[in-house]
Amino acid sequence: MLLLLLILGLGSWLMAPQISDQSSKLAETVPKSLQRLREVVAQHPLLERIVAELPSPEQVSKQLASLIPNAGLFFGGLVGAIVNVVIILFVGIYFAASPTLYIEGFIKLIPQGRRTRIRDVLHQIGRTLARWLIGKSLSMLIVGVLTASCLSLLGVPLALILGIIAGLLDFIPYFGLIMADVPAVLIAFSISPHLALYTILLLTAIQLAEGYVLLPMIEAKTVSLPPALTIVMQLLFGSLFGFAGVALATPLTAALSVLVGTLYVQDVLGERRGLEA
Amino acid sequence: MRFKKAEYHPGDVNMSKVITSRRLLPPPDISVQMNDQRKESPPSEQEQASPATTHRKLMRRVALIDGIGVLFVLALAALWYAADVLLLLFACVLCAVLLQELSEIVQRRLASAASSAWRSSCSCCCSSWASVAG
Repeated sequence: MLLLLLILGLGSWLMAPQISDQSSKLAETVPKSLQRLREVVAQHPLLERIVAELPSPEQVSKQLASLIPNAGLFFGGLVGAIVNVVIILFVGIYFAASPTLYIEGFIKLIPQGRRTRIRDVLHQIGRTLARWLIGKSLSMLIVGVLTASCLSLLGVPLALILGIIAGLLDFIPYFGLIMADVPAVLIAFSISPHLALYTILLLTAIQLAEGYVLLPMIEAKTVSLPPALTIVMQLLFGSLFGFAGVALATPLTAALSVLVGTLYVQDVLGERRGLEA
Repeated sequence: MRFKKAEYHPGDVNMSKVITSRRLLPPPDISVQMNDQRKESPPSEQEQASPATTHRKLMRRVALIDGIGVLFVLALAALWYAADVLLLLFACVLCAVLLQELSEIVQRRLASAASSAWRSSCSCCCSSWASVAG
């Protein structure tokens, strides 16, 4: 565990200056690109309606700045976002360092006759989440590296931060990569419309490769969730809890499917096998 | 009612239980006999309960159901207000699961690397010892 934390900390410490530099440039570039897009699109009379619907650069910068701080977790604001991350990391490290202490502490609250079953269910949830997380981490890593390297080959500026954004947003199935495409296309458009077109084609190809090649391979060894269920749960949790709800909808669905499959389908309905997750 | 030991009277519940336990006769229809006994027996305390008692019992049941409903609504409200904290807690659990899984993978890799290194060094030692002994 210590070795892992050391590797992660060293990696992020080495990358931090480049990331902070590129992210500040990204925050300046995106509103300018949007302004340029508005000007170009406004020249075409048919697209004027679309221009009217587009948000102003000020609105975009405000929304981008408030996306992560107002993620829907406990602490709000920019400082709150950092506090959230610190809490998640520290509590996560404490949980990971001695998981038995917390699991057994929780199980002591359950009546004695049901303890074995609940322990079994908790282990099943843990296994499912672990497999899903490993698969998703692998997918995020591949998508991030692929996006960054392909964008830098195309000559799109700020390729590193765009790759990191694509990798991080890949945590959210289906909607994440679409959200990640927007800044990349805008930045490419600020250089030339042709580059924007190539960027769109490239990002679409990466999405298709992820959806049809990478994910089936990963899901065959980890966890596969029905796509319609995942999207419905994302919409539901997103409308209830905001961005954090959308981000955490898929692991919550995986955990809930294990809970329903074991405690309801197996225990109440008497089926031998629960829901496949 | 008392019976002689070996005698069997058709319709006698106790005796038929004894016989059916020895697999001699099929079980008689007990429910019919129970209904007959109920008809014959004097009305119980429950049947003799006054309308006031019945009303009190009904009120108690209504209060219980209302209480369960209120508790359910309160639990939902608490869940709604604590949703942010619960999401944060779930994120912590996800982080813990990921860290633990990654550390297990690193541990496994290190252990396998260490064991292969140990095996190769051990085989080197063994071969050198064999050559020395030979």
